[in-house]
Amino acid sequence: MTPARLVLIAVSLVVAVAVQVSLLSRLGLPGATPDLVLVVVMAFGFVRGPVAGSAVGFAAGLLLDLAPPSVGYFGLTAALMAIAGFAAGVVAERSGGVVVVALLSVALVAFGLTIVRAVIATLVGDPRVLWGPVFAQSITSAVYSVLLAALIVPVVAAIDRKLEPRAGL
Amino acid sequence: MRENRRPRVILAVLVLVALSLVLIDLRADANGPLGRVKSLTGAAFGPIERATSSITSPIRGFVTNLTGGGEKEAQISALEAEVAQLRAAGASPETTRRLGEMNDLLRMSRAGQYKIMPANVIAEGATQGFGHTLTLDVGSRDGVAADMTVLAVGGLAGHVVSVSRTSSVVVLLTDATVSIGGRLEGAGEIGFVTGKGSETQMDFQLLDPYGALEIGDRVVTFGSKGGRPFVPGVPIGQIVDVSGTPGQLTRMATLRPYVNPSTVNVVGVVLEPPRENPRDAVLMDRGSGVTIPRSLPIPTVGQATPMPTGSAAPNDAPAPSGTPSTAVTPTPRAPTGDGAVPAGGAAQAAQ
Repeated sequence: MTPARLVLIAVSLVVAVAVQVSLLSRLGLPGATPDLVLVVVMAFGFVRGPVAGSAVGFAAGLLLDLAPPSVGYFGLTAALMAIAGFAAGVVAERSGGVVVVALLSVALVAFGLTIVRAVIATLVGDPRVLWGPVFAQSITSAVYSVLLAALIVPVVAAIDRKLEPRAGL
Repeated sequence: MRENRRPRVILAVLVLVALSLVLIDLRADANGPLGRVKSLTGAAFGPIERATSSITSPIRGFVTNLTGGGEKEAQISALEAEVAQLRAAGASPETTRRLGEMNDLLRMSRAGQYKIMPANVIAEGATQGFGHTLTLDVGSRDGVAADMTVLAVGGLAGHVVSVSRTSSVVVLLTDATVSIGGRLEGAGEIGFVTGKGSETQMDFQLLDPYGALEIGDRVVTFGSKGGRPFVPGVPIGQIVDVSGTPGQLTRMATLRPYVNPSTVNVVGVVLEPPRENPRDAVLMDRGSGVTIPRSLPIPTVGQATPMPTGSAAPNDAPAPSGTPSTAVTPTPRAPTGDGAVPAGGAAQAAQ
């Protein structure tokens, strides 16, 4: 981990969080809000492997939990995003970098994340969880995430290669 | 083998740390160390979100026009003349729209005698997340504090739940945890308006089982004690469906809020509650939107209501806070059985 890479990660996470809460969530798109932060986390997982993926996911989740107007359970997003980053790293290692597999895994994780969040909210008795729209939200979240991933994963990979030409994958 | 296990151990540790944070957060209060961290990051994120919001506002305008174009046709044509006029003077359409919203907001606050701090919405919670929330670009340095009422053009938007120096978080009225004491226009019947996570539908529960309740009735806030979290007289919405018959223990209805929180850009935080309950003054002032002609006499202060509410004592001098909630006594018409919920309870339950 070079300092340049740490700065890159920090900046891209802050930008992703800001764009997600200030732009994407306010577009009024049908279904879910596009989960840009998830896509960025998984992009780092694809490029840097499961360890970096889970660490970046943890940090990104904490940021999302801290950035207003988050009113969720502080730390929950960090746990979920760490798992997502780890999964991306494992997928990249096992599949040897096949693009279609990577995109499929993003769709699957985005779909699962929405469901898991709703399940957890139901288990802790949160009145704010509404099961009616959850299915539509998980489908749309998966679709948006794949579209975002097609744009963002190549960019993250390119920047990462530039910073450390001989690294991994 | 050991090589393969390392990532899993790291993941397990991270997840455990995160989950312990959840447990700590559930037990801690706002003044604990976690609360302070949240307040600091809130202050740091305020300017970032404000910048992102203003940089990306053309994109937002473009996409919202694409997705929600139909219902805006009327507004667009009405605004076009104004836009042309202002364009000639050098203003962008965005500025024009904001000016219009601000103007309406100020008119509302004047009608209700609310002292407001105008604010821009700079972020919104994710649809699939917990709760309906917004971030505003005003914070404690602007005099905003928790539990203040938030208005938007047309009516009630929600109330402030937390503040940092540069930003504040608003829970919208449509959030499923929100319950507001509401009063029917004119008649003075009271009830509860509760959010259920839908942007177009809220539940309205009338306390008096024999109270008149019709489709088209308009509901304003009853007012909480001390004006927090809800000041009196703010339009909430309109009854669109009534279920149950007179005489049932409670009458349920569906209410459509005047404010669609997802399209709100400019809001006003009520810094000080009005000295006197504005009753229906804010509703009367609303020229645009859903104005329903009523067969009931237009209530003027003092004659409108059979209930001995705040308006019964208009000369009660400046009672700075709590006029609406303290002046209410249970009405003779309130049934004793269900009346176990005292009228004052409407104000208490408003959070």
